Order: sequence, then C-alpha cells, then structure tokens
Amino acid sequence: MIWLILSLMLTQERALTENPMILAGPGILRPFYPPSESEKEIKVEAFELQQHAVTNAEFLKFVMEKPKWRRDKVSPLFVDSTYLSLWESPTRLGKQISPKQPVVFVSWFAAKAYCESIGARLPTHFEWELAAAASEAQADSRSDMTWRQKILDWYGKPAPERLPNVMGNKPNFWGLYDLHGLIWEWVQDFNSILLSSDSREAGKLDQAKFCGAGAIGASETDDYPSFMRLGFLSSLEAAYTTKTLGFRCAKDRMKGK
Amino acid sequence: MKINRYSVSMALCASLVGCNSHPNELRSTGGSELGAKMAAPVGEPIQAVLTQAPDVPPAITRKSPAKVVVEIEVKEVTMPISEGVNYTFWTFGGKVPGEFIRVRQGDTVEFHLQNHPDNKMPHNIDLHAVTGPGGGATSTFTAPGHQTQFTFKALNQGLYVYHCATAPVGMHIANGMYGLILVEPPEGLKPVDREYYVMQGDFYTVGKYREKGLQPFDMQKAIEENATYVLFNGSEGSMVGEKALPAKVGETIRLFVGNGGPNLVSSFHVIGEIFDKVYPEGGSHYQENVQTTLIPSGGAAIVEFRLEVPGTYIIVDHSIFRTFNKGALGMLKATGDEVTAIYSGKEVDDVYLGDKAASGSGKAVAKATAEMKSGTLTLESQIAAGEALFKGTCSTCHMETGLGVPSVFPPLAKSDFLMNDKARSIGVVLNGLSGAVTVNGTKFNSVMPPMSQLNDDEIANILTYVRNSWGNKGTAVTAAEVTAVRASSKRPPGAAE
Amino acid sequence: MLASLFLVWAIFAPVHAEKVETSFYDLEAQMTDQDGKSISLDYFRGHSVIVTMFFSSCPHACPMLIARLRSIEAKLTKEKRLNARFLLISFDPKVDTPAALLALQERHGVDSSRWRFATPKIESKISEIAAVLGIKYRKMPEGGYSHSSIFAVLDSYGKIKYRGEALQEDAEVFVEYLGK
Repeated sequence: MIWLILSLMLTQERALTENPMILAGPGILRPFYPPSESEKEIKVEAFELQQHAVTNAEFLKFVMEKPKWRRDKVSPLFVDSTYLSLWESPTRLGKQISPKQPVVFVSWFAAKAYCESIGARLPTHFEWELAAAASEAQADSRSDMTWRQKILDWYGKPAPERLPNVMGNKPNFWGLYDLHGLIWEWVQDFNSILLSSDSREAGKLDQAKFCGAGAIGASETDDYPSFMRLGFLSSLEAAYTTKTLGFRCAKDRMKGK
Repeated sequence: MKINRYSVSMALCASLVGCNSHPNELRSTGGSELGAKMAAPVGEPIQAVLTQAPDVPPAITRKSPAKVVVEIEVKEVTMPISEGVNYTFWTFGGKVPGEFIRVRQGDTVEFHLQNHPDNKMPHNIDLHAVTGPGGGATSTFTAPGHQTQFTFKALNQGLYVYHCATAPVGMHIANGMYGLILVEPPEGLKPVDREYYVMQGDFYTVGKYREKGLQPFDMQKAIEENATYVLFNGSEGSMVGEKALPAKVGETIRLFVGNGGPNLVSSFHVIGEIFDKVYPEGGSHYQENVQTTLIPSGGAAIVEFRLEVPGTYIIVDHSIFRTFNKGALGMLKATGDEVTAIYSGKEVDDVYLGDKAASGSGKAVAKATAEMKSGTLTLESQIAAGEALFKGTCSTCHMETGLGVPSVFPPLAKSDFLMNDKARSIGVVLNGLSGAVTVNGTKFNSVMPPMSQLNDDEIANILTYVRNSWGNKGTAVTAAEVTAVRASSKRPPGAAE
Repeated sequence: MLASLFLVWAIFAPVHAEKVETSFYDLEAQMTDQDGKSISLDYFRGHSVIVTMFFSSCPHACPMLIARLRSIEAKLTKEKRLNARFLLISFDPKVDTPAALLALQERHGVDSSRWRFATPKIESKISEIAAVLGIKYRKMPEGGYSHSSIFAVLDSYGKIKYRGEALQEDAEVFVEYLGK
C-alpha cells in the first residue's frame, strides 16, 4: 500500500519535473465569442500550466503504469480507432517516433486521465486562451496583427509529415512553449464553450456554430485565430483522436505561491 | 462508416429552431409535380460520377429518381497558384474548384464528407441545392481524420454552388472550398456537343501578384476585398495554351460557370462569341443573345453558344483589370474551316492619311499660316508650305517630279502653259480643266478635277511652289489673287465653293 | 495422454470472446442516490435503461425532462415496463443532496424501485459521464447549468442503443428502443 502511494507520488513528481507547472495569469479575457451578455469580459484567476505539451515519452510512462490506457486494452468508449496509432506498438514508441514529440492521437478521456494521474487536470478554455494570448514579449499580444497573421499562417498549412519536438521555439511571456504553431490542444470544456442560458437546445448551439458563422455576436471580429480554435474544438467529440491534437495539464494555483 | 445519429438529430432539432440560412422554397407548380418530386428512389443506389474541372460528368439518361451516393474527401494541399507561386489550398477532392456533382431532380443523395487525417482544420459542406439546415452544414461538421454523412432530396432543378461553411467561412472559401452541383430537370438538358466546367474565384495572398514562393492567405486583404488573384479553376493559366478548352467549329458548347467568390462578382464574357442562351443564376429560364452575364459570388450560370468560326476565344471577367493583371483569363480553341462570310479576317491594311496628315502639313504649313497672320509671309515659307500641300494631292497626277504622265497628265516642270498666265493657272486649280491643251508642244486631252475645296492661301502656296520648282522661276501667288479669281469665276457643278 | 489433455483444454478453455460492444459501464463512477446510498454507474446493469442528466434547481427544462420520461414510461407495455429503468444523473453535487433528490422523486411521484436520481461523488466524473452521453453542459456564472437535453437508451450490457433529443423527438422512438 505504501509502495503504491510512493510510486504514485514519484510518478507525479517525475512528470512535474520533466514538464514543470508554470504560473500564468491572472488576466482579463475578452473572448472572441462571449457565451452571454454578462461574459464579455472574463476574469481569469492565476493558474498553473505545464511548460510544454505532454510528450510521447511522458505518455508512454503513463500507459505503462496504467495498462487500461494501452491502445490494445482501452475501451472504445474512450478513444477512437486511431488512438496512439503512430506508436510502433501499444508499449513501444519505435524508431519513427521521437520521445520529445508532443503526443498526438489522444482523446479527451485519455488526456484527462493522464492529467489526473499526475495530480492535475486539463486547463479550461479560458485559461488556455489567456496563456495563449501572450507573445514572447507581452502578456496580451492579441492586437498585434503580425503575431496574429503568423498564427493564421500555421492554421493554413496542412499537418507536416513529422511533428517537430516540443520546445523548438522561444517560450512566450509566461515561459510556456508551443501554444501556437505545433499542435491543437484539448481543454476541459472543449464542447461547451458557447453554451449560454438561452442555448438549452442543442439546435441553438448549432446556430452559433454554423449560421452566419462568425459574424453574430463576435466581439473582436479580427481575432480569427481564437475563432478558428473555437471552430476546431467544436468539431470534436470526447473520444476523437487526430494527428495534430495533443494536450498539456493545468493546476489550480498553489496557495502561497 | 459511422452514421452520426447525434448529428442528424441535432440537425432535425436545428431545423425546428429555424436555423435555416439558405431557404429554398418549393415551387408551387401543382400537386402532381410535387408528388413527382417526393417520389421514392427506383433501383439500386448509384455511385455518383464526380469530375475535376474543366470536365463534366456525362448527362443523366435515366427517367426515374434514384439514390445517388456522393463521397467527397476534403484535402488541404499545397499547389501552384501561378508560375513559381505556391499556395495551401483547402479542397473538395484535391483540386480547386471542387468536384462537379451531377444528379437529377427528385434524386435522393446520400452525401459522405471525409476529412483527410493530415488536414489540420475541421470542415463541412453547404450545398445550395439542399433544402434543410445550413444546406447540410450542420450535419457534416467533420474533424480531421473523421467522416460524416447526411441524406437530402434534390427538390429543385438548377446549377448550384456548394462550399465549406466552417467558421471563419470567408477563409475556407478563399482557400478554394467551393464547387458546383447540377440538378438536371427530370427530362434532362437539351443535348449539346460539349460541356465544360469553369469556376471563378478570388484569392488573397500576403505577397504581391506573382511574387514567388509559398504565399500565405491574407485575412486583412480578404476583408478589404483587395484580391491578389482572380482566377478560373484555381490557378493562373489553368485553361491557357495547351490547356485551352478544345472545341470544333459548328459545335454547340455549354459552359457550367460558377463563382465561388468569396467576394467578387463576375462579369463573365467570351471574347468573340455571343451567348445564344444564358440561364442566369443557373435558373430555369433563359435569356438569348447575351454578351456578358453577371454571376454573383456564391452563384452560377449556364451559357450556351454555337461556334461559327475557328479561332481562340478568350474567356474573361470583363472587369477587365482582373483579366490582365490578376489572371482571370482562359481560352477555348475552336478548330475547323474558315467561314469568311461571317468573319473575313483582315481585308485591307492601308495607309490612313487622316485629314491632311500625310501631305506632310504640320510644320511647314503651320509656319506659313502663322506668318500670314502676322503679315510676314516669305517666298521660302510659301514654297515650303506649298510643297507639303502639293504632295499627296497634286502629285498624284502631276508626280512629285512635276513631270506628269506622258500623254495623260501634262508636266508642270518647265511648263509654258503654267508659267504664261498666272491668273489662268489659278483658275485651273480652282475650277479644274478638261478638253484639249497643248503643253510644251505636246497635246493633252484629260480631266483635271477642281480643287476649290482648298483655301485661298493653300492654293496660293501650292502655286508658288509649283512656279518655283523643277526649273520654274516665277513670282509668288498671293491669297488675295486667288480670292479675286475665285470671286470672278464659277465653280463647276459639284465642286466646293 | 497429451491428446486427452488437449481435449480437456479445448472444452474448458475460455473461448476467445468476440470483442464485447462498447458499454456505457466501461466508465466507472460512484454516485450517491436519493436514499443516500452509494451506487455505481452500472447499478441497473441487466436492464433496459434510459439515462439522462439534469439538476434539481433547473426551472424549465428539467421538469419537462422528467415529465417526458414519465410519458415514455406510461407508453411501455406492462411487460416492458417491468424491465425498464430510469437513471437521472445530476450536474450539481452541491445542491443535489440526497434530500433534494428524494424531494424530486416525491414531487413527480415516480416508482422508486425503477427510478434512481444520483449525484457522482467525484466532481471530475460529471464531465466524463456527460462526454460519454454526448451531453454538453456549462456552469453559468449566474448559477445553474446550461445543458443539452439528451436521453440515452442502454441495453442490458450497457451498450448505448440510441441517443436522441429529449424534448424534441417523438416519445415513440425511445419507447421502441427501451423495449428492445
């Protein structure tokens, strides 16, 4: 029993030193698509976010320690048929994969389980957006057209043959790497971001997603990168895995930090 | 393939909520036609034949509605947009425009949308031929590496645009996500000799027109509607030179023309042809004898014309700077025999003298005129002006050498007839001369037409020149002298006063 | 000798089962029901179940949800009704205590032997249950939850046979699937 607790703690510790939690925020977010009238400005509390996306190496350790998440053992309720499909085998990365690449082809359930295994959670959409609003120099770079165009450029390109390793570029203002230009990232509330009190029916949600796509209700109509992230996330189901979708974990800010 | 019931039910729900951005009303054409529209499919499901532009799937020959299965794969792919310029297009079926879909009114279409796993973006499809929420967009929102399906009945005939409707819609369309779906009327379209698929679109790149390299999409230019390229079928030169659309003289051609936009309206024109029939906006009625037809962004038109003569017909957007400076140029080459009754080709290529332009008037004449005005007219000026005027008028008969044509036109050089009587010479120039004359001992019997249309000073200058050239030596003739002779003599009938 | 051993093995060795269809119960969660008892997510395994999510202080949609479920129940044949079960899972553990859930049961007069109102014990399980059921929800800043209203029909193994719009679709569809 003690051994169990110890190993659990060691796992958490290992994960956290390899991919440390970095303090980000607090800040005010003016979401591109405010979910309701009262949420045009969202106050995001300070929180912690992992320095870089969870890598193949980190996820492999997780899968070895929790075999129910191996691709040959996992329930199809939680993943689709391409889960971890780039790995050579359920327990081996293989030569084609670098341990330092971000892990992809993981579902929301898998990402969530990983984060819980290291005593953390997935970031919320607003937390992620706040962290991602930063460029290298400033905490909030969203009015910088050049910075925005660079992000749009990445969205315009198809997925590369081989994903680069994490931390290949400079970190942003908070010390976080690759929030742009590497992969899409899961968030806790990926499919309920647009829900408001008058969208009780799923139909209205579709109306927001598809009808007049992007025009109605958008506050900063030129924050297209934000918009495209919203669009991408809303195309997903919790069990989906894709070639350019990974994640990183978050934590509530520790008291006294 | 998984039928996403949840999507279908959401779509049903959404239809109740009223999310219907493209309402296509049923035509009230009577109960029996409505009944026909709602008839069930007959026979085995058919796999739709889809084609890349400029080709069109074959005409539908069956006489009953069917279930047609359409499978389209969305692929994000980097391809040339112009020579040496690459662009990352988002495509329906691997190319821009998307694949051409051809069905029959009343068909039940089972539509499969596949989003290639290498794609980064989610995509969906809105077909303007669909009556239902978002034109299918709500039911086909697909993440990369996944596929969706929905079914619709093609209630209305016509030529319709389809495009991706994922936010931001403008960007998806600007990257090439559009194509055409033709819903044939039940009796089919009248057969023609050839059908082609042409689709116009505007493109926005960070770099300038033809700036080399991989060019990213420029959102700001798209918002400002400041297009870098306006192209047919997704790339500059897609229908030019060797890729020109082939045809033969005598053939009737039908073009299915779409305009994906995202922003610009097209003034569609084929240089050298008149459209015998235009179905504006792909509708059911046609106009005849049209030179240029407007195709709205997100719209289409069907044009038909018979090729009467051979040649290369240039396909343009008649907002003409788009053709010559942004790439909106295509070609249709018609081969066959010349038909000169309709178009002769060039018949005359001659010098055009203009008014008096070829007689060299200009400097000399202007100088003389100016001097006359100021009262400082010199002999030299008169001679120079006279020479300019002589050439091209008088020299036609009397020759520039002044020697005339033996037995036909008398010489002026060393001419006794000319030099003996100044007033008589003025009269001859003014009123012409016919009948027998003897010049330097030689008989001539010809007709000199009157030159009374020339001004007094012009005649004065010409005679001064003549009287001082080729060995002639004489005094100047003044304008006043000409005026006097003009006043005291009659012009022959038909001559200017 | 070897042959007979082999025979024994062949008869008694577990036949390699066909991959069992995905079951809702693959998700494990502990919940507290209206009687204050601990029940697991697969409490109704072996029965035909209709599952949904709600919160008790919901003003409009949730009472309609429950009413809908009751009308579905009423449309079942006596035989089918005996086998059918109703599982309503709450988004709101803070408010939906056993007492609140019990009050709900009383207010709607439902048969407690076949209806369970339950709150997941671990908050992070709520989003997982919702994700599996395809229900989107969000806690509103002014309180309460905005959520889509979905009914999922499970067979006795927990396989999701049908998922549909709770308030928009015909009750008949759910009746049909519950009966299977």
